[in-house]
Amino acid sequence: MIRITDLRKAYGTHVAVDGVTFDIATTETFGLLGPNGAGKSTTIHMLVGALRPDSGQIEIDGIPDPTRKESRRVIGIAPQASALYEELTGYENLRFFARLYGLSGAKLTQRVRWSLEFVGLLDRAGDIVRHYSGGMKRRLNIAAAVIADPKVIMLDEPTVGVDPQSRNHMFDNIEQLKRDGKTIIYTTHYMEEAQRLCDRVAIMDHGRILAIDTVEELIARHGGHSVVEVELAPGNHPPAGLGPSLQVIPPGDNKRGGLEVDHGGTLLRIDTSTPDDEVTKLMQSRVRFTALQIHRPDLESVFLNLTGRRLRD
Amino acid sequence: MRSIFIIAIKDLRLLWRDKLGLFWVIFFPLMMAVFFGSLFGGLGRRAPLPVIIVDEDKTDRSRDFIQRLYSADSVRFIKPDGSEAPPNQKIDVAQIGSRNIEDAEAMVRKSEVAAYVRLKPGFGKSLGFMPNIQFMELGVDPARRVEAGILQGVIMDSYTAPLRDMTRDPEVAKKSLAQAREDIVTSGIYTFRQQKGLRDFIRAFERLVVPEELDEEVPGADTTDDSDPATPDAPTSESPTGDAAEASTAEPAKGGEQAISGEQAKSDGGAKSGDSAATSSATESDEKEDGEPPASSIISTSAKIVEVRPEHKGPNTGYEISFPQSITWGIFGCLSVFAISLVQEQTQGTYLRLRVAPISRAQILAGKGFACWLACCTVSVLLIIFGRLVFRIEVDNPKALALAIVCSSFCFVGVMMFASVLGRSERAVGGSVWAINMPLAMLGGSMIPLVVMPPWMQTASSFSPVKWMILALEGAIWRGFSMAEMALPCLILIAFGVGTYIIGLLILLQRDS
Repeated sequence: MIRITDLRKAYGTHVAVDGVTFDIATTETFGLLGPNGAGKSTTIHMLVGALRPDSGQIEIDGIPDPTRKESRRVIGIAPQASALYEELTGYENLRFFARLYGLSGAKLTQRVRWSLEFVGLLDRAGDIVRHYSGGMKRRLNIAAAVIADPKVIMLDEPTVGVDPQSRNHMFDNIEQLKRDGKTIIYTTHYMEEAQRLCDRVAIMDHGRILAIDTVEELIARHGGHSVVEVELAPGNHPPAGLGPSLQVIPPGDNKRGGLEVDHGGTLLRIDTSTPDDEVTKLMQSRVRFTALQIHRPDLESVFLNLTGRRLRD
Repeated sequence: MRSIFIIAIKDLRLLWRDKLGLFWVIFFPLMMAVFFGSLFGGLGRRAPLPVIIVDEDKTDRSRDFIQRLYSADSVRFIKPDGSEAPPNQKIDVAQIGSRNIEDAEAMVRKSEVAAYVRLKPGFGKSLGFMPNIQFMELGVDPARRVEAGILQGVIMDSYTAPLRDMTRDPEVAKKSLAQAREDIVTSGIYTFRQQKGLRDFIRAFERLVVPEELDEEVPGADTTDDSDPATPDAPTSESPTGDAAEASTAEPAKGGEQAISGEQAKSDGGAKSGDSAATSSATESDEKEDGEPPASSIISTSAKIVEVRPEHKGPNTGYEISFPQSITWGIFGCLSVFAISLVQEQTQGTYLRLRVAPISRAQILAGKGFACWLACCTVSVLLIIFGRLVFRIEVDNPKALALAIVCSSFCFVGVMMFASVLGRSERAVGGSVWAINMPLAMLGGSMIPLVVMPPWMQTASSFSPVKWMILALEGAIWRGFSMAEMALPCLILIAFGVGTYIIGLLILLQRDS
């Protein structure tokens, strides 16, 4: 559905996108994961034809130039900013954007109504957007992206600054779009969103793709070991037989190790590829503990391992 | 084209919902128009000048002059006690005038009046149809020289009024000229040679203003003068009073044949009933047959000359000056609103959404420009309609006005495009808009009239489209421009609009890429 080959974009001496290449299959939900300034939005802008790349090729639905009208007809975008007219009502906003895609008459009315219903704003359709909450604006932003029933939907950090209720609503919306067979490109710096929604994820940093794969494969390849953390009850000592990577952290030494756990007792930290076995050993040793945590590797770990820093650094 | 309309309608809807924007686009210009129109004397007449009369001549002619001056709209008489003489009445000069010049001077010094008009003894002692202006004195406050100038004009108007009456009404002319003949002899101030010269002049003047038919009614009224022997030192033996009596009592030969002034004929509206209509027709036929119009027609055509040279026509009211200027401000308001809205599209992300839609960038900008143009035209038309309904603004050439509005609006769409790319935030663009508008307005005469500018600045003003816009609007409203005369300002406006639009577009394209 989408093919990007060696895409480059620079602003003066600053290289925003540096040789990005990837393919996205039809109906796939593809995540672009990276910290702010990684080049995700620039890539999206080039994908939709709003920004001319310095070099590289973009092909969407078999059309080699994203600035062509045929290409644009299959794309819907929810930009990072709300991208709505604040002095128009929700209904007027959607109607305006739908008409730009050539919709009219009953089809126009039906699509506007469907979109409002889809994002749960039908009852607020007649309100001026300025009076919407941040979450409602974000939802309307998504409604505007899907108003013309596009094959490809680009969601550029759609959940930034959104309350949990609206975020969950948006996740439901995106999952519904997946079920409807839409191809979705989703940029975010929230790993849990990418993990929940995306079939494949590209990890970007400094304009380059560091890794692309399914979430499971990325974790398996780059996530590292799981970490088991146990806080012992007072008067208990570390049992014998735990993994060779066992670390014993005295009470109050919060900063030791990679994990920042606030503990009052002695902390045991075990780096292992078989966390379940380590927990079983711990239970069998009859040692008393006040807290037990298992930290499995995730995309955050993947990013940390790939870049040496956290996503939100 | 559909996309352009969709974008334009959206932008106009946004403008309509922007109350502050509407204020700058409509209400602010309206306030400016009303305010400056009032300053320019917008009610159509200047406040009458307060004047006190000192009549030391006390003759019929001085009283006649005072009555004429009193009838002028531009003057109001102040009595010695400071009260104002009631308008539109037959006045008693003894009551309204000052008894002595010292009191009148004091009132001028205290600014209780703008001036005194003193008619010294001898004012009425002159030829029959004009008082002697050498015996008139005008005392003005030096601080009110402008008003004094206006007053001089009013006085000259009253002073020459008898002469005008003569040219309009042959009967009046005959009486006045007869009186003049009498005055030549009775005044005792002219030598015989001077008397003869004056009589020759009066006879020539009489031939000009009195139709031949009336002249024939009083045979010998002055014909004997031609055969007078040249006896330089002897007073004439002729009895002018007899001539005058005959002339004054002479009836028009036939009512239907009496010539009327052009003004009267005009006021008759070409009605073909009664004597006047018949006379009018006769006059026209005479003109055709002789190839030369009768005397009365020649004199009465002076007003028509003004009409056929409309570039000398002035505005009827100050509002005809202030409303074209206010249109400038209205268009500036539109320019500001739309330039800011264009940058708002970019900062709020809607421009990206528009760019991603299956429409071209040219359509997006055309839609924006079309909305701006429509808003400018609408505001201009609304201001003109308001001025027409409330302040009786008269539009000389509606087609030319439509052209002026269309071209002015087009010009400032280009300026809007240029201004919108001079910043990347609403605040920056808002500042840029006014940084552009102010010099254009000041240089173009929207804030300071061009006439008070130094010559170099007047030359520089040609680089401001505001000058051409005001010229085009005034040309259509009161300068009486023909469509051909509208071409220059309109072409300049279009060229300026195209130029600034292209520059703005190039900057925007570069920025987008």
